[in-house]
Amino acid sequence: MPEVTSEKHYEEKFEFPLWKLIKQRAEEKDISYLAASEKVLPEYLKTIRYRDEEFENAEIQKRAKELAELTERD
Amino acid sequence: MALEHIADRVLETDVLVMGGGIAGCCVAAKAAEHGLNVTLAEKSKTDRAGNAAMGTNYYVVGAKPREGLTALELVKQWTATLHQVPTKTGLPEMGRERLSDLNILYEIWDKGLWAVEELEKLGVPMKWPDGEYRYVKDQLRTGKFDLTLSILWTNVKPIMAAAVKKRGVNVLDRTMVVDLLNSNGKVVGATAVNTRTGQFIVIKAKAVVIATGLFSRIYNGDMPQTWNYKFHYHWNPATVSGDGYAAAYRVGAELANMNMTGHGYIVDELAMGAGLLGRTDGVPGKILTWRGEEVTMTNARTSISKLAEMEQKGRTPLYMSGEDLPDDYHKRVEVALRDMRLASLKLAEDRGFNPRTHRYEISPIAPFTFYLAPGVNIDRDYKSLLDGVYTVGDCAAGLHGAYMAAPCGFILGENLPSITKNAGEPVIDEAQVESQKQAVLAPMAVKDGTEPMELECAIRYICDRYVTMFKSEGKLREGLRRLGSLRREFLPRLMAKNPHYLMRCLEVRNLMDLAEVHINACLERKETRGNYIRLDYPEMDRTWDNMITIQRLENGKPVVEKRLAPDLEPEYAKEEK
Amino acid sequence: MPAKINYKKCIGCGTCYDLCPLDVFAWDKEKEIPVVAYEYECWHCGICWMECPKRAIDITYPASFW
Repeated sequence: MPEVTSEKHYEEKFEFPLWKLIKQRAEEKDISYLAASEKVLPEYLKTIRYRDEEFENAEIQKRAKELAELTERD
Repeated sequence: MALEHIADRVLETDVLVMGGGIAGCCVAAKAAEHGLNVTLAEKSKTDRAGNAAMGTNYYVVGAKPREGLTALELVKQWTATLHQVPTKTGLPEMGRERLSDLNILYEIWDKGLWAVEELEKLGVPMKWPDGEYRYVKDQLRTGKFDLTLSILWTNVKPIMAAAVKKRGVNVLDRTMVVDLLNSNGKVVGATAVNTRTGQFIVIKAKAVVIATGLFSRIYNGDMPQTWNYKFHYHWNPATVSGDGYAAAYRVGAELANMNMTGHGYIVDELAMGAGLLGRTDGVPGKILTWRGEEVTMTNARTSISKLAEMEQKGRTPLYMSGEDLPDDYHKRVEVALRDMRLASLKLAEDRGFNPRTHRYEISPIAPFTFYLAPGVNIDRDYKSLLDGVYTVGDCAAGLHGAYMAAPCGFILGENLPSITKNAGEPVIDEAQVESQKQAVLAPMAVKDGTEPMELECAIRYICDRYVTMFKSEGKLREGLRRLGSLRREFLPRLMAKNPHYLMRCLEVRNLMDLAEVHINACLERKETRGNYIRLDYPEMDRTWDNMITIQRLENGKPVVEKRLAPDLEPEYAKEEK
Repeated sequence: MPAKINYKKCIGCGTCYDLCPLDVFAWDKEKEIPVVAYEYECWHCGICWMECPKRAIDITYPASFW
């Protein structure tokens, strides 16, 4: 069972990896954050398994099974 | 000639489009493509106007006949989602839950793929950078079909704005259409005001298309109120103040289902977008109590009572968690946030919010005017009751989302040439213009009056306190009484220090009208159905099956009635094999 | 806190003033710079912040959004 709600909510600074990349590119090229995000995104998308049907279906089925069990218990 | 003396600027056009969001841009682009003279008036700036101002990340395609997904199937699924009344089979039976003309929905779904092509012609990206379409594995909604496109639309509005101008549409930004002009039972144009210069403008048109989206702001924003920041709404930009609804209503058009505001649990600010964690590609996050016990919240109707029950038992707050998701899905969340609102990434940094270790709080129920069926009542040609007035997009009854706004905008745009061909020259009643001008500019002359936000907050308070999600007759009547006093005492005192504040005053005038319409609609519908709850009528009243509330002004008096929503035509209702 | 302009970075291109959905900015014609004129109307969409070519706008969300 997951833990009680994290107490760490406001204590640590955090950057989304994508956001870090966007900031870096924006500062490097001295462009807007929006323009930087347009440059960064295509490469970032390649690191995500969007086109991996097997992976996706496996994850979906796993979660669907969990939800089904939960619904029964609830 | 007299018109040029009354107005600062007089324009003439074939089609006036009121609102520069997705629907407005699509109808304008298509009509202009066919050679019509089109004027688009947008209160803000078209490049960043409407619900998709910052972008969005999903688009429901519509029927895909080659894959066996029919428009009929989609209509069934759509009505199920809208009304969310669980039945034994999981879907309500056809014919039980019509809240709008199903033929309109059918035709929109049917033309879905065509609309995708038309969007691409405008330069709007429907594919991904790798050159392929990508479908979200939207299991919950669709079951088995790839129906929802994942799209990268952070720049959809600048792209559409440029495309619309390229096609020759005359775009008037910072121009708020205020009232429609009618003569001899036909709408012949509109009056408008420039929100920066204060110019009073008359636009003569053979057809007026209202595309102003939804309306919020008759309730307070669904995030906790933030001291003086009164324009924060989780789901809608604050520009959607129902200007189109109100203008249509005042000129005699019909509004439908104005009792139906959405209600739901509001998730943390950072989950902004299509609900849970952006689109989670078929792998929804977990809902946890504060102790970490997982619970289900799949059906909105049962979720509402569940949340209330948990609150009563001291088991809240509830949280949504994506902590267990594979890293790959966390990256997807980042990408979704980028397209829904880039600033969310910055907000997360400021807050130190890391979805890999933190949870999104689910707040108690709040109303949000989103999602359901309210709008200007239209027929299958997107025409309102009145000649000369058409409506597309979120502000049309029964329609919701960019994925309906685009197709219906294109469909109407295709038909506008034949509509305007025999329309004849618009004949303006100068006395009407003069009287509208007086009403519109009045706040500029008021000294020591009431600031628009003060009156707006009073209106919101009435809905927050006397309407709410759990309605009952006594409270609704009290709310109406108070609204009446506000109208009598404060509307005339509204004060505009400059054209920007004039815009706010005019918005408040619209909100006042809409709040009244909303309360009257709630009084009329004496039953509980789906997300519409009357505590004093807790059962579903079967005489309201497939009925919509219709409201309009008749000789200045509000009229409410109920009417059967048109069923699917036999040609659509039969299963295609 | 609404949008705040860092005038050290601002080049007066007018993009924020041009695009803001809620018309929160005004334009100072003399100095040729944007000013936040209606700060309480800001809804923190971040459009000005993301579109600014010089990243001269800071948006910090109001306390309640935390």
